[in-house]
Parts: sequence; C-alpha cells; structure tokens
Amino acid sequence: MNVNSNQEDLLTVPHRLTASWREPAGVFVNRMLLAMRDKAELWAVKCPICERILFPPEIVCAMCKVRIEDKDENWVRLGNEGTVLKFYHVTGSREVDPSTGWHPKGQTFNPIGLIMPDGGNKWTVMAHVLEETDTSKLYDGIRVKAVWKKREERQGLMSDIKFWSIVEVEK
Amino acid sequence: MAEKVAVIGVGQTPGKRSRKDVSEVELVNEAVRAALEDAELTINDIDVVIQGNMEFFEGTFYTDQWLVEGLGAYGKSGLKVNAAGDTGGTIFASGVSHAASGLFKTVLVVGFEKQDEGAYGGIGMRSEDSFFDIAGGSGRAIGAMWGTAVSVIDRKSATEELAAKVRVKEAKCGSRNPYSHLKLQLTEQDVLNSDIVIWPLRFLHICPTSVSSCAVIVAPEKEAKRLCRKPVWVKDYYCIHSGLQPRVGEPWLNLGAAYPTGPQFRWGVEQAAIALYKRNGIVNPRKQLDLIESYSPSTWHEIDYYEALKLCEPGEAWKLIEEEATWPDGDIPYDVSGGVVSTNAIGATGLHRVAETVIQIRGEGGERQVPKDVNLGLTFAQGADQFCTAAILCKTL
Amino acid sequence: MNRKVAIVAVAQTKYEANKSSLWQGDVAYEPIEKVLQQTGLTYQDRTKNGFGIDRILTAGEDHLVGRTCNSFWIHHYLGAYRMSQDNISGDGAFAVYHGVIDILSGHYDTVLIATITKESETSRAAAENCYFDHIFLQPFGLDYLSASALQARRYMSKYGISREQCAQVAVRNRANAKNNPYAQEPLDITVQDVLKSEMLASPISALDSKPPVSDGACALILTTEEKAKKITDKPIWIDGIGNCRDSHYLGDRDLSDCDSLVMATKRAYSMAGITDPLKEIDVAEVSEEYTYQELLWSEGLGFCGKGEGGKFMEKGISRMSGKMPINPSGGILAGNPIGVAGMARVVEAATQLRGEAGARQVEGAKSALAHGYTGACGQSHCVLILRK
Repeated sequence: MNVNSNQEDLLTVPHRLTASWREPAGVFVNRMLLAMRDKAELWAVKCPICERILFPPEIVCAMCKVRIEDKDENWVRLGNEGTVLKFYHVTGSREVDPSTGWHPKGQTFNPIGLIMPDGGNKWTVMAHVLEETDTSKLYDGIRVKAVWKKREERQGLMSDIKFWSIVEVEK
Repeated sequence: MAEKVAVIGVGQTPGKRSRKDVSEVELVNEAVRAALEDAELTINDIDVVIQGNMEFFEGTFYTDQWLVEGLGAYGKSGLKVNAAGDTGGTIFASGVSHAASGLFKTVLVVGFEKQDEGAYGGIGMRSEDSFFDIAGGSGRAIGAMWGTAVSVIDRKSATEELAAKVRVKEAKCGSRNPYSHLKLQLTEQDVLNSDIVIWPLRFLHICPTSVSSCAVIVAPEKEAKRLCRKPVWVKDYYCIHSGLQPRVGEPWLNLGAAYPTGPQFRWGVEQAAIALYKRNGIVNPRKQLDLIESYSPSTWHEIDYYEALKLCEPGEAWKLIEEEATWPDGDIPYDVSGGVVSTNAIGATGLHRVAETVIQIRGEGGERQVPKDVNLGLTFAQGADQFCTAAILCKTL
Repeated sequence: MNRKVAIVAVAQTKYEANKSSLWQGDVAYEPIEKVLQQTGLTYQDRTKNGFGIDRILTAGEDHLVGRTCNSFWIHHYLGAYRMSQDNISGDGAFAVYHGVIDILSGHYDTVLIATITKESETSRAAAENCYFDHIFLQPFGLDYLSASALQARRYMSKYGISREQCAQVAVRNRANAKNNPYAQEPLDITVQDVLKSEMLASPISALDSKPPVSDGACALILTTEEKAKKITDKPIWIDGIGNCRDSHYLGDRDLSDCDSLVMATKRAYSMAGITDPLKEIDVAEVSEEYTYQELLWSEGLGFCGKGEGGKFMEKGISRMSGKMPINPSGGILAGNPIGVAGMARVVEAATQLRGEAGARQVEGAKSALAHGYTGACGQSHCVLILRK
C-alpha cells in the first residue's frame, strides 16, 4: 500500500467522560452526618454480637454478617477527643484535582491520623487530618481533640471537622 | 475440582509506560496471538474467552464488548470478570473454573490495562467514598501501601537498608525479564536516596503504572494432555476477601494499619497461604515450594509477605534477606520476573504472575530461569487491600 | 453436566425510579437478607460445620457507580469478608451463568449472587456512550437508545415489522406488570397510546422504551443437588446455560440478525435437551429495553422463524393466556435497572416455577427460560433454562 503517511505520527482520539454521580448517604450514615452537621456530635454503631464499634455506622456487620438493628442501644456516642493509633504524612505524592484528573503542583498536606475517638474500641478507627504539621511532635498514642467548623459552615461531611489538634497533657 | 486443569499456553506483551502505537483491541490481540503461538493452537481451537481489566481506568463501559475482535471472542462463549487489582488472578480462577466445569475444551483468559488512555490519578481519586473524603492528603493507593511499609518497620522485620537490598534484587530480576516495564540499574544508595513519598515508602519502592496485556490458555486434563507437551497443572486455587473497612476507599484502606488484624493486604495473603498449604500438604513452604510469583506492589510488601507466606517466623524477614534466600539462586526464589514493582498493568498483572510461574516450571525462562528444577510454584494476585486470589501450579500431577 | 445446580432462594426489591433515601448498600442488602432468611443459610466462615455460602458474585460496572472497583464498596452487605467474591462485568444473567460454572467446577458448592444498580445515581447515557469503540463509534454520541433505534429501523424495514406490532409488546408487558408487586411502572395503555407517545429516537417512542430511570436489586442462592434438598422442597434446577458475544461494530453486523443470541440459545437448549422450545418451555422471561427487541429476540430464541417476530406476537402465544407467556412480570419495559435486569429475569422465572408468582403465576409452569444481554443492540446474550 502506498499511502503517504508520516510513520512517526501516532494519532490519538480525545475521549472525555463527562458525567455526574449523586448518591444518598444511606440510612445510618445520613443520621450520623446530620448529627455532625447540626450538633457537632460523632455517632457510631455497635454490633451486638462481636461488639465492634463501627465508624462510620454500617447497617450490616462485616464480620458477623447480620443486620445491626436500628435500636438506641446499638448507637454509641463518640467523644470529641481521641487517641492517634498511627499517623502518616504524605510528603512526596501529589493529590489529584478530581475535576481534571491531574496533579496540581506545589501541594503540601497535613499529616493524617488514624484516630480512635473516645467511646470507641480498637475497631473504631477514623482517618482524619491532624493540625500539627511537624511530625517530630507526633507519636503513636498521642491524644487529640476534634476542632469543628462553625455551624453555618458545616455541611454533613467529614470536613465539618477541620482537623484534630493535640491535647496538651498536664505535666 | 471436578476436572484437573492445566495451563497449555501463555503470552505476554512487554510492559511499557505507554503504548500509543496500539488501541486496546490491538494490545490484547498481541497477547492472544502470543499465547496461541505458544500453545501451537489457532483461535478456532478456543471455546471460551474470559477477559478482565479495570474498566474505569480506560473509560470503556463493558470493555470486553469492544475488544471482541482483538480477543478472538466472536461467536464464542465468555464474559468479563473483574474485582480490583487482583483481576489478573481472578480471571485466571474463572478460567480454571470454566475448564473444570466439563463444558469447555479450551479456555482463553486475557487481562490487560492501558492506563495511558485514562486519567489514572483522577480515577484513583474516584476510589473514595463521596462522604468520607477528608479533603486530600490521604495518599490514595500509596497511603494504603504505607500501612504495610510501616508495619514492617514496627515489627523490626527489616530496616530501610535491607529494603534497599531487596529493591536492588527486584531491579536485577526485572532487567533480565524481556517483558518487564522497568529495567532499572539500581544501587542500594539509589534506593536510599530516592524521594520519600510517605515515610518509609520511597518513590523507588513503589510499582509503576504500566501498559501491557497477558493471555493464558487453560484446558481440562484430557485436552491438556492431548494438546500440550508441557502442561503446567493447576494444583489448587483459593480466593479470599479481606475487607473490613466500612465504606471502603482510600484513605479508609489505610485504616488497616491501625486495625487489630493489621494491614488487610497482608491478612488476605496470609489466609490464602494458610488455606492452600493446609489443603496441599505444605508444612515447610520455604523448602517445599520452588518458586513464588507474588503481587507485591511495593518492596515493603515483598518483605511483609515473606512472613505472611510463612517463609520465616514473624519478625524475621531480615534473615531471609541477609541469607539471600529469596534471590534467584536461593532457597525460595521470589519474583524472579522482577515482580509488580517492575510492571503493573493492573488487569494483566495477576495473570503475568501466572505466566511467569508457568515459564519457570517449564524451564523456559532464559536469562531469568532459576538454576534449579521448578516443580511447585505459588502465585497470587491482590486487589485494593480487599481481594487475594492465589494458585499453586505444578509440573506433575 | 457433572453435577446438578439448583436455585434455592430468590428475592428482589421493588423497582423504583429513585430510591432516594437509600445508599446502594441499603438497597442491595434487602434481597440479600431475604434469601439468607429464606434458606436459613449463613456464610461458610460463620458456620460450625462448613455448610454455608462459599462464593459471592455480583454484576456491577464502574461507570454505573462512578468509582473504580465497583463491587468492593458494598462488601459488607455481600458478606464478603473471608469469602471468595468476584464481580462479573456484564448483565446479571451472566453472573448467574458464572455461578453455575463455579459449582460445576467442583470448587464451590453454594453461591450467593446479588446485583444492584441505582440508575438514579448515574448518567446512564454518558456511561453507555463509553461502551462504543472510542475511535469510530463513540464520537457520534451514540448511546444504547440511538443504537437500538438503528437496529429497530433495520429490523423493521427488512421484514416489514410495524410500529403497531412493536407497540403490542409494550401494551402486554405494561399490563402484565399490574400483577407484579415489584414492578416499577405498570400501565394500562393501548397501541395508540404507544404510537402517540413522545418520539425518543425514531422509531422508538417513550412507551416503546423502559422508564428512563430505575433503581433496584435482586439476589439468589445456587447450590448443589445434595445441599438443595436439605434447604428447600422447591429446588429449581438450572438445566441449561449458554452465552455468546457478537461483533462490536454495528456495521459489522446485520442488525436485523441476533447471531449471538442464536448461538447462546443453541448452547443452552443443547445442554437442557430442548428441541421444540414452544412445546418444552412453559414461560419465558426475556430481557428487552425496547419493544422491537422482544420481536427480534423471539426469533433468536427459536420461538419463530427469521423475520416472523411480528407475526409471532400477533399469534398471541406470548400472552398470559397463551401457550408460552413471555414476561408475566412485565419485564424491563415495566422498569428494571441495567445489570440487574437479566438476573431479575432469572428470579422471576424461578418464582414462576416455585409457584410463588401470585397474580402473575403461569399455572402449572414446569420449565422456564430466562435471558439477559450485555451491550447495545444485544451484542452479547445469555440464556438459562430452568426446570422444576
């Protein structure tokens, strides 16, 4: 075939998916998020069989594989303070701008704590932002407390808590 | 299993950062042709075609439908199976199921990923629950890998220096594998100097995003013996789901690092190993297995898995590294292909592990062939801290 | 077949346009919980004697949930922890097919299959556009509706199928749906109503089509003969399965043919020993999102000859009062979400054979056909034969 073509060119076809997805929070999570938004309260559920306290609350226990009934005794109020079980700090990766799918430059992040809020148990682990950016000041087991946004700024999202700040321990 | 099943053909495309010279259809076709050639069959000899990839990465809805011509699937039975990163292993298991069912004579299994076509970062972002987004800083999939890395340090299973040693081994192995994406010439100092992503994870510890395809042909016993001179038998396989995190998604995958059960990546692999060893009379895997092709998305996973796979006592992975027991000429060669840190085309990766094990058992590994008889190989694939699909392959039934 | 495979429990949610307060896990768990309760089964890791579900399958697709790894979001609801779980990326009928394969392989005994889609949460047309070849077809902005319109046009013009004949499919299915407590949108309509309804993509009008948005889920449990007899006195045997893929490019096919359905049907009938479908099948649940599809698929399923789909419809065999009712449930035309649709056909077929179909029961039904498809214009089809 004698088609006049430049063998170097590799053509591509642009393909853009523009779609939006909208999802409801679900029965338990909706209630939990409203409590965050309206009352700055953190709520979890407890599986009555294995007694794991789950945040965010789920209607089924992953281990016991039965429904967690929507009864008062299965809801557990978590405290505003907690213990950092482990923490990490993303220093070299770059997060993605979801609207473009690409990495903006010059990003810095706060460390993330895997936090067990008071009132929970060893299965109640929440990933959230730590205020302290100097990781040499952090250690496994450090006590932190949730710092909430003002009511008018809260939307029923995890970011209604701005971050968790170190609780100064009395010496 | 109802029928014994063997692998009778494998085909791989070399891993690359990008393959703008082929469409997805052409990419899988390369692997399919290579597998047919290896098996000395034509596409007409194939009854069913199973395909897998992680569709969102390419933005192709019900991907296998577009790929029909490239797969040679026209007019044949078949479907698409996918879970997460373990897709390559999962489609292999599906292929083995189809072959063992008694309904089919030859099964073609094809995995691929062509991430140069999609915004991997953006899609990775979309592996997060909408409500629990903590506004960045989670590290995404890399954050989940951090959990494994830090647990290795905490348990004193290895130091950063020993991890660097392992990384150099991985790189050397990758360099000898013609299908590897990364063929790096690394020194331990290169690794230790590499940028920290999330301590102790460094840039060089982490798998690349690759483009490749892998095809494997399996058949039930009678057909395998009829068609193939060197069938490699599937002794057993095991799939286990390890997810406990509510509303999964990064950063929530990272929770495993704080769970009583530890990082779920590790837990899944350990459970799969325990089950397979028990069912197959393996009490001393280091001695009884001849080879392992693992799904270790970072160097730290490899080290963690030495213990999860019971190659040594907990906390003693460092011994295996110092003894170089997992080196190609060691007791239990681990990832002589270069492993996932050398090539990670997600939908294909798990299947490449199978292909490489088959090649070793046949003694056809060329420059990367281990210097001993390989009779029993363990291979597994993993996905997103949640799925593990493992298989034991053997030379003789 | 080396082992017999039975359905021992089925359940589905009511199909609705927008289950707005429920997250997908909440929706999925409803039928899952029901089949667990019906059988008294739990998961193998939760039993003492190891007699429990040892495999879980779903049929989701990333574009429908807007996330990668679509099945792992609902892992709790599936009971997936410590289990073998996988996702079939295709219509739910293919997931049931794979469940049968898993049991025939001897590797698994008891499979839970659950499908859930909330079309209200996604832009289905945007996702469908991504099904088409990115280079040649996608840039036309095709979706399943517009592609189906092409197929309908081709089919109708080749064989002289009329819009009236297609409309009769809608009239019958929507009327049948009135007897189905799970149906989303039962309607009392006439052929004229269908012809006058808003034209979506000629020749397909609004009433020729399923409702635009559906949410729902279904679940079933498959197991071996030995275990089935312990669990239920109404095991429904899956005696035949078949699937097949056709060419992708619309221009590579004559769209008035459904070759992959013919092949899938042949495979299923051969396995089940069926040679005269109209005689040997008592009820059929067929997947159709657009009315012309029932006529065309009737040909592929061997209910009539090529080009005779319209005449077949007019013969009345497929009416509730006919010899082989098609879609007593009202089918997808009354509202079923993608992915769930083909599995809902299996659930309905099994319900018929269990004699539990209430007002939509086909009396004395002993054998049923269930069908699903993946891809625009029925690129791939899956057929299952169920018997009492």
